[in-house]
Amino acid sequence: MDVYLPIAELSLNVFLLLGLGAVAGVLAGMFGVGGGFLLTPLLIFAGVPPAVAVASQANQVIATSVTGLLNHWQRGNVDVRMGLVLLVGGLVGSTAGVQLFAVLKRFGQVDFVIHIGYVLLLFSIGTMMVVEAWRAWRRRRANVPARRKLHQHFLVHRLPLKLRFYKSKLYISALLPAGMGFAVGVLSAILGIGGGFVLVPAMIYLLGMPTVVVIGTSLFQILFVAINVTFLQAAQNQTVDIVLALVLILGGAIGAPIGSRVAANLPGFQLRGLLALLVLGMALELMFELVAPPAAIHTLGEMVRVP
Amino acid sequence: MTCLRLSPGFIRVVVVLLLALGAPAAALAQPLLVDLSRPRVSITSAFRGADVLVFGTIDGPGDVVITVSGTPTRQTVLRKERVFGLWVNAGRQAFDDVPAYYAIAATRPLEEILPPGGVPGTPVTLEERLESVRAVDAQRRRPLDLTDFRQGLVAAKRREGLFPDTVNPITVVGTRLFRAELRFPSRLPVGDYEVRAYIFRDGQAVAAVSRPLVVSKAGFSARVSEAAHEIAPVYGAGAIALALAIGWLAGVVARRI
Repeated sequence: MDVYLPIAELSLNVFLLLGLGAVAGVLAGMFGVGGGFLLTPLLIFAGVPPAVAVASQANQVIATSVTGLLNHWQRGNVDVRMGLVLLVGGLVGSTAGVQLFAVLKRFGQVDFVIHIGYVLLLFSIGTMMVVEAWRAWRRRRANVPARRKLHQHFLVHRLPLKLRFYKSKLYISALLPAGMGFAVGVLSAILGIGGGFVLVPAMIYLLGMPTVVVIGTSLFQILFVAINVTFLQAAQNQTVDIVLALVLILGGAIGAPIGSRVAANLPGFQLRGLLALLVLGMALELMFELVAPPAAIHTLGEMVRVP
Repeated sequence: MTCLRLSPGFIRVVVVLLLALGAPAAALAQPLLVDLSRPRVSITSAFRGADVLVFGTIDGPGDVVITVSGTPTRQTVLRKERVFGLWVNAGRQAFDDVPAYYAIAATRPLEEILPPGGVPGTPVTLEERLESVRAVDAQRRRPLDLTDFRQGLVAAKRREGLFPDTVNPITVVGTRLFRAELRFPSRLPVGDYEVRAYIFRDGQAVAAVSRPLVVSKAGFSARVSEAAHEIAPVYGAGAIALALAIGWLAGVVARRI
């Protein structure tokens, strides 16, 4: 059964799309990341114009992050103050990102930037996951308990504009979280991802936030940044395909509970190792496409109806 | 769509044929009568391409050629070039008067119908139709470069199925009636198309008739597309509200299970 996507202007199998959404949902449930980093390249493989894939993906991120945020909110795992500081950066970053996106679109370079952005992104995530899985595996073998230290002190503690974040038990400069929010906001606008897998490690390792509040707080920032990106992409670039987003969201809603159940019953590091290899494989494939001589040198750019 | 069902298209077929056959005087006055099984191709939520039947009468022996051309557009062609080892869209060239879609149907192979080099003033083949295509800011490029882009344009359009390279057959019933099935791909640009039919005798176009064919989004897809472009901020807000509602609902439901 095919469904016509009115903004992407092509028909795709509805079950394929539901399946993609479900895969993203399973990932979201398992690892607490949005899964957008796998979804967007897959949509592009399926023929959706990259600009539409990215913008509709931001719309989908809203749904997954609101589900997750409600969960963490109820358990009191959101540092609202930290979230707001991140968000200030995030809103500025995503707004700038959407403008940049519009400029790239005008010069016909959106596809290339999305493509190479994903290569870099998937390589770094994949490597990070491999390292993380390997460490977990080694820790288990050696029976060494994970290091317990609140956080280390370095540069962050010497910058101006220091703020007290009670829930995170931190007294640090607001500049670093705002800067992180900015960077993730730009990524979110250009690549359509929520940015959880960039933000979460940064919050743990750079800011030294306690792990309990990290995911809830990052979801707080991601939700509002995704709302901003969706609105701006829709208003300015008209690239949000609501039908595409809706099917992906529904698939995700089916996949997320499955993912969280799977995650509860399986040894994490093996699974994460496997996923890491998958991510690296995808990065290699995308890289190969950039380096290998293309099948077609010429492609169609924009088409304007002449009155 | 076939004409077997009693669709409005079929009724149009019958009416035109009855008119043509029952009123020989009228048919004689007009050497060529043409109509389409439907005046509109609607791109709905379940659109997977469409078939349109072109049919009509001719006043005697001769060859029929039908051309279908989409709205003339300004089409940009991108060219990948190798920059620091990566293939990047480094070159771009716009062309004016490029038909969004172009297909041909004929009773016999075109080279048997048309004189070598075609009929002046009557573009039939894709090459002839594209003669009027002009490069935007052509003086900025070397002629060889332009030719490359032009060939790239045709190849890319072919790949997308928008310049089909096969000539569709036209079936002639007796000597007077003809029909041709036009198949449109699922990735069809919207716009005002023109279906043009010619009678060729001895390499001369002796009659020509043109019919409009509107390709437009319809129903739900049309509403969505209109909203996205005309009330973009409202559309964006709606998309956000929808995602929030479903995400919230999914969370509530997941906790209950």
